Formats: sequence, C-alpha cells, structure tokens
Amino acid sequence: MFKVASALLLAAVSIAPAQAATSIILNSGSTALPTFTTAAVFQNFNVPTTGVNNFVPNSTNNASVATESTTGPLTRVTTRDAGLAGMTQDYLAIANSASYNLSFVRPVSFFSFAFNIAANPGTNAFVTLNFMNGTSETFFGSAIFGSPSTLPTFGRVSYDVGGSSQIISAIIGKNADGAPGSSSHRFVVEDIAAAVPEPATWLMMILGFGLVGSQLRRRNGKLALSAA
Amino acid sequence: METVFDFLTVGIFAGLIVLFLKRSVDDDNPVADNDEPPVDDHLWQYLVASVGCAGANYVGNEGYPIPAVALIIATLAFIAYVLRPFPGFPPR
Repeated sequence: MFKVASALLLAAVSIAPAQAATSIILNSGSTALPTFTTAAVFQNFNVPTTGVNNFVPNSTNNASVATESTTGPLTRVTTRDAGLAGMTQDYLAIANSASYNLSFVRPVSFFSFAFNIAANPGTNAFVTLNFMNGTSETFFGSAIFGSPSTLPTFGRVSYDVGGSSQIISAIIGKNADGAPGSSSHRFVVEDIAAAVPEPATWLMMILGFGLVGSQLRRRNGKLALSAA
Repeated sequence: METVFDFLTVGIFAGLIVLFLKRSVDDDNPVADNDEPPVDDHLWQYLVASVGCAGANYVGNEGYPIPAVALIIATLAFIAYVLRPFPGFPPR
C-alpha cells in the first residue's frame, strides 16, 4: 500500500512540469472548440441590434468568467447579412492602437478565440497572456496562431498551459502600424472561450464511490456495525 | 487533470477509494484479515478525507497554493491517523 501510494505521489509530481511553453492549438477553417477541452464560450459579442456598434465592456459576456476592459477604438460589427467566414452574428474588430483586455475571475488553464484574418490584422496584432506566477507571454503576427506555414482565412486558436502556471489575464490587441497602416486593418475575433474548474466532478466521484462502498458494506453486514 | 493540485488531490483520492472499497469487501474474509488487524472505520471518516481532497483542489486551482498544500497535509495526516492505511504507522 505504501509503495503504491508513494508511486502515485511521485508520478503526480513528475507529470506536472515547471513553467513550460504554452501550447498553441490552431483549428484551420473551423471555429469549433477542440474536443478534449471542457472550455465554454463566455463572450460571443452578439447584440440584439444590427449595424456597427461601439463595443461596451461587460455587456454581453458571462461576468462569472472574466471582466472586460478596452483601450482605443474597438468596434463591434454586425455581420448578420454579409458575414465574414466563420464569424457568426457579431464579432469584435480591433483597430490600430486598440486592445481588448480580459481579467479572469478564476485563473484559467485554457484560453481560446475564433478569428478571421480577411481584414488583415498584420504583424502588429498581438495576444498577451499574463500568468499567475508573475510571468507573461506575448505573441505577435503569425506567432499568435503558432506560426503555421500558411495562415488560414479563419479558424480558432487555443492556448493551453497544461499543468504550468495558470492564466490570470489576457489581452488581444493591435499596435499602431506604419505603412500600410490603413484604418481598415482590423484584428477580428469572436467566441472567446476559457476552461473553468468544475467542482461538480468531485461531488459526483464522492457520491458514486460512497454509494458503491455503502452497498458493499450493507451486503457484508458491516454498515450497521460501523455506523453504530 | 491540468494542474499539479489536480494530480496530487486526485492521486490521494484514488488511494482513499482503494482503501475504502478494500475495507468494504474483505472484512468478513478471514484469509485477507490474516496480516492486518481489523480497523473500526466509519463512512463519515472517508467523507471528511474526500472533502479535504476536493477542498484542497479547489483552493489550489483558485490560486492559493499555501492554504492548498496545508489542506493536503492535513488530509494526509487525517488519513494516516484515523483511517490507518499502514498498520503500525503512525504508532498509536
């Protein structure tokens, strides 16, 4: 028993790495979340009105996951009539010198968003992840998508930190660019998702094993004895 | 299973379940009881240890590693002293 327990503990410690590089998962041509994650979309930017609207932080997102703030000119564009590929209903268009900032209510191990590069986000687009241990990581241009050989027009990019330090806040933004710094250049994002812990899993495990054990004890006539 | 607290607490919980189920089935088996003295355990004791694991996991994943480690140590101590998975250790 002791050998088994210490082997389990050793395995648990050795599996969890020190601060490792964030793994970037790129889904080309699909905005669906990877199947392995329990992450859920908490911000889809959908608003009841049509037309071009200024983005209002904390308006349509799930506030129990993250609070939002912005800098610079962000625009939420309605695409219900003539949509960009992969973008359902409304999306967030981040212009030059603008950023969309997320502060997670609980640290998350997984952060993800759908994107469309038709508006040419360029090399000045960036994603910054701030970790619980005080470090941060910033990806520029195609590094945002894991530097693929060909950049898909649209898809979903996910950041998975695994067992290393959790993400406490994230910034999706675009620095001011020089030529061709057209104001029409936008970093278009949609369907922001994050993985949040599930305490209900523990409840199910404890109840399940408790039920099995109590049935076994009842059969053995041990429950009446031990419950006394 | 993503953080170090997930692995630690689920590992402890797995060991606890093995102990719980083993003691639930082999109490009336004279052969299995040869090398171990009978243990007077209760269902609520396993519940306390399970809630300790779940609580440590929650606190750790919320970003409070020191309270989480303290809770893990307290849970291990509770298991060792009350449920006694290792006969003779710790000595009574």
